[in-house]
Amino acid sequence: MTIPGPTVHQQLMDAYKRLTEQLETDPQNMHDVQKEHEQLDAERDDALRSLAEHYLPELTADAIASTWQEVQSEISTILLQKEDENRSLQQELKRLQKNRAVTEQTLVNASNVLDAAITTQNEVSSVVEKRLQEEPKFVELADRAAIAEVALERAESNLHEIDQDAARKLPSYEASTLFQYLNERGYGGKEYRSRGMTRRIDRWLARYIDFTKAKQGFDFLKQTPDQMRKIIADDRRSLNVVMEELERKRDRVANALGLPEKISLTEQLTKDHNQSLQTMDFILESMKEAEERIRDMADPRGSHYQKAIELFRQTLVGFKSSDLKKRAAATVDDLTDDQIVARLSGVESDRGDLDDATRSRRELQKQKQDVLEELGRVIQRFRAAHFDSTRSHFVESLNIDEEISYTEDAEDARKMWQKIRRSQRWGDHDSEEEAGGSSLKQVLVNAMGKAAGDERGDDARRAGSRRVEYDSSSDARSVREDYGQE
Amino acid sequence: MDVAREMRDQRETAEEMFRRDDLRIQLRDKLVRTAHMSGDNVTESEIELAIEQFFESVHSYQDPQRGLKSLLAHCWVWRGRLILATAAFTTVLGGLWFLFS
Repeated sequence: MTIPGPTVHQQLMDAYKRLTEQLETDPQNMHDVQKEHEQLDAERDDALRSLAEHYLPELTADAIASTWQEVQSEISTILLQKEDENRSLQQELKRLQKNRAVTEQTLVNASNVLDAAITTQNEVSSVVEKRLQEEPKFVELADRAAIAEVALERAESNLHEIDQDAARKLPSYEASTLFQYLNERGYGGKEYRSRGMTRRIDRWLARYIDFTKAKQGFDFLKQTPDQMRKIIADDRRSLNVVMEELERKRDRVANALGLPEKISLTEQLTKDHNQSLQTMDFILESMKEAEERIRDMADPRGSHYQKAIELFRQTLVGFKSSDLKKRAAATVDDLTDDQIVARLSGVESDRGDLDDATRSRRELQKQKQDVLEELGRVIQRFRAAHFDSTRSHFVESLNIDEEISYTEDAEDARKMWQKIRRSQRWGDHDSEEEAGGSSLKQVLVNAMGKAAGDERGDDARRAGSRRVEYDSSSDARSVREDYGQE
Repeated sequence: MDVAREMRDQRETAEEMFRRDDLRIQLRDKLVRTAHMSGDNVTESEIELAIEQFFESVHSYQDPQRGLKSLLAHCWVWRGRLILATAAFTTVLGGLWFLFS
């Protein structure tokens, strides 16, 4: 019982696919490892920050004097910067407070002036109104304008209704073939020219659809809205004339009493008042910002402290765990720094383990890659040797899956190819000739196989096959030499 | 003169339409009075509905009911097209008869 060549070929292909899939899942695992790395880095940073905070609990001269000497000068610089900034902020705040007082006074004055101007304007306006009311011509014109306005509003409302009526009713006229026929021929008008039979039948049709009444309705709906619009436009023009006359009278009285100057003064004062308000808002906003900054300065763990801690942390990064441990041990009374350093050591130990694991995983991946490449070459050789032919068979003991499971590196994969070759058998003579690709050499293989007998036949064939595979170029030369000798 | 008269008529009609709301009020008063005289108990909404129906029916147009007269009227209106179609049909029929007889 043997295994057919195509089956072994398929098994090799499946194994190749399986290995490729395994290699594809590895980058995902590497991504997880990277995440773990980042987490450990974050924990390490956190521990270093805790240590820095422990050695520098606040940003004061005393705290700096009792902390590590390596960072004292740089942290002192930060403290000086803080104090300098605090001084300038205090000065800025004082200046803003002065400005606020000045602007507040300006705003109060502007409000008073504006109120007075508005009062004066209102008084003059009242006088103008009173004088106009006393003028009979003005009163008459105002009455006319009011009546005209009411009439116009009423006309516009009615026009709207008629417009809607026309839009609703005209389509039935326009859709009627019978009405449109008579209307287009001008029936009932001077332009109607038909005589005799046509005229008589048209008259019958006009009676049938009651054309005279329909025509009246049609003309009404078509012409009335436009006519109404014209009348409204005329009335509006007349009203405008009246309004212009009224405005002239008002301007005459207002100019005589100086109302336009009063109005422009009020507008100017309103503008100045708004400007003062904007300035006040800006000053208040600046004061708020300065006060927030001063509060931050007053906080011993404010932004400058965070800056100092970050600097300290960066210095600690340069120290080895063992050095940190020694320093922590030196502070006999203090156990907190020992605990933090222990935590840091734990994190670094985990990080080291993870690095080792990552390295070995990378090596394994490289090995798998090599095995995959070698397996690809085995499949190429397998095909080149026509082992995937239906006439190619393999001994029953060959188990590709088992071989693959034992394959750990490229060398194992190469050995597997040797095993595949040794396990290969050809089905019959004809097929061997075809499979060899070189008839003369195949004759040699067959002859060697038969000559060696049953026991060593296979070995002899393999020896011949090796020549076929690796020395096929010698065919032509050997044939030429044979003929030459003859 | 005719043109002037027609323009005057149109303006009068248009001005009449500016008093359409008055017409509506007058109509309502008249309907209420008539209902009182006849002893009918009508509501405001019924009167409003009647007024709406009146304005809806004024100047509206509807073709007569379908029937033989309507058919004849349409045939008359489309007589040109019908004659043309009959002539074309007869020509085709005559041509076929001439070819296959």
